[in-house]
Amino acid sequence: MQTLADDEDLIRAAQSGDMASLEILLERHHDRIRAVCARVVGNHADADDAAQMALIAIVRNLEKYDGRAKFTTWSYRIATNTAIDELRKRKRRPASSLDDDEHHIEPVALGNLADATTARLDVNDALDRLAEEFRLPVILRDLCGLDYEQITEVLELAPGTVRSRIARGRGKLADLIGPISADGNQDATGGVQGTDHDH
Amino acid sequence: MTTEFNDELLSAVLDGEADPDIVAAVQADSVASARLARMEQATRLVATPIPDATPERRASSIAAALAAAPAAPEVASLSVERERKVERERKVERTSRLRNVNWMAVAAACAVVLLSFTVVRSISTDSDATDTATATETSADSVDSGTDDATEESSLSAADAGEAAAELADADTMASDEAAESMAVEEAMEEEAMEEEVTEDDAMEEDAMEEPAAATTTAASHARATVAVNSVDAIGEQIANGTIGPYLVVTDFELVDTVDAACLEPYQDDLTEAFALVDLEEFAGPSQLIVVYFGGEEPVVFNAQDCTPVG
Repeated sequence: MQTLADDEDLIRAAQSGDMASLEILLERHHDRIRAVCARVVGNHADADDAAQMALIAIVRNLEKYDGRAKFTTWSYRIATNTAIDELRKRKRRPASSLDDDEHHIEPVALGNLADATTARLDVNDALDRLAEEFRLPVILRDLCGLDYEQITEVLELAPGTVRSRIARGRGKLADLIGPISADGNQDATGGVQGTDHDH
Repeated sequence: MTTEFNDELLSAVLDGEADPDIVAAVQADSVASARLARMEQATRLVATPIPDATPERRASSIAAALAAAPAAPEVASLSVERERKVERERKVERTSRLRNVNWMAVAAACAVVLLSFTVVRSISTDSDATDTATATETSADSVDSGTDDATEESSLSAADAGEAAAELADADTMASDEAAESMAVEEAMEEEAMEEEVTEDDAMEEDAMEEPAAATTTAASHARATVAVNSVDAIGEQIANGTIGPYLVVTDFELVDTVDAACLEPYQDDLTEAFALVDLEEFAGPSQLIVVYFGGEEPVVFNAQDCTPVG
């Protein structure tokens, strides 16, 4: 029975110049990398650009990959750096037609959390309002599903810092998105009073 | 509420890392459980799958990345090879200079030896003359003694001169050896330095590649770079109104040609890099400059208005 080559085999082959293996590797990880880029930059056009730049950076640095970290962790580090860079560039340049609604990632419907006709919360807007230091750990944890140890490797932060930033980021997102009332609509009252969620 | 349930604790509950009794306590607290629900909702929203790129865009991204694979080492090797060539030429020049210096040292030593012998001979002649004059005034013994002394002095001087010459010859040999040795050491150090330099350059290139700011992309697949630009002024205008963004990516000379061939014509032979990243935003007056990176060289900056190189 033919089994799919694992990442390590593909990486070794790609490092030796096997383009077919490299292509499989890129095919395999493209969507994951683009997803993290999309959450960081918040729109499709920039996400595609950032994903492409991340793939190029991965290819050009692949020979330096020594297997000490998992490939996913290593590539997430490149992807987040690339996406952050893209985001900074985007914020520096004047708004263009490419940043219009057509390219903006569609706000996420609440699905089972609420009636489909009701609240549509723009998680990208909420993420965009989060400081970078909170946004990245939250994305890596809740979108990419990395564990805390992997996130410390990707962001090169202490475990306690990662834990604290994820908690604070989630708290801030909860405040920004607002509570869901029983009928599925966003509660206009906003955050919960009396909590010390920012501590 | 219950300030005891802060976000860090609730986050731990979300991650399934909190003790069961804490989980129970949170569930028993209406405010804390409401906040937990909101945090859970935020978490789920972040985790919502994002629509994939279009198949075309996905394919073009992967193709661009694959295209970058062989280009990078080729560009690096070209610049390294060029550096090595220059270094080899410098080394040949230096070696030839050192050889000239060696020959000059040998010639100088020979001149000193000849001069020494001439001086010795002259001293010896003077001594003989003095001795002869003295002999007329002194006894035969004295004459003999004087002659002996003179002869002795003369032979001593000759010996000294020979010794000096030998020493000079030795010194010259040593100097030559030292020169050769120092040359070898110098060469070794230079080679090492060159290797370090190359390694550093490689590392810098790699770092630059790692650094997303220096990442490149292809014009064909980059929405902002596919805007048609037929003149330098058009670029400035489009940058100013934000149509093409702050940077322009040029993939090959042909594409550069469409920007303004005149700017790059003198450098065509030197254009070794497949990718040329033009980041106009790095410079003051972004619409005034065109920046082109050649492989292993400093970027060439042109004035966008008249195509003259700047700096």
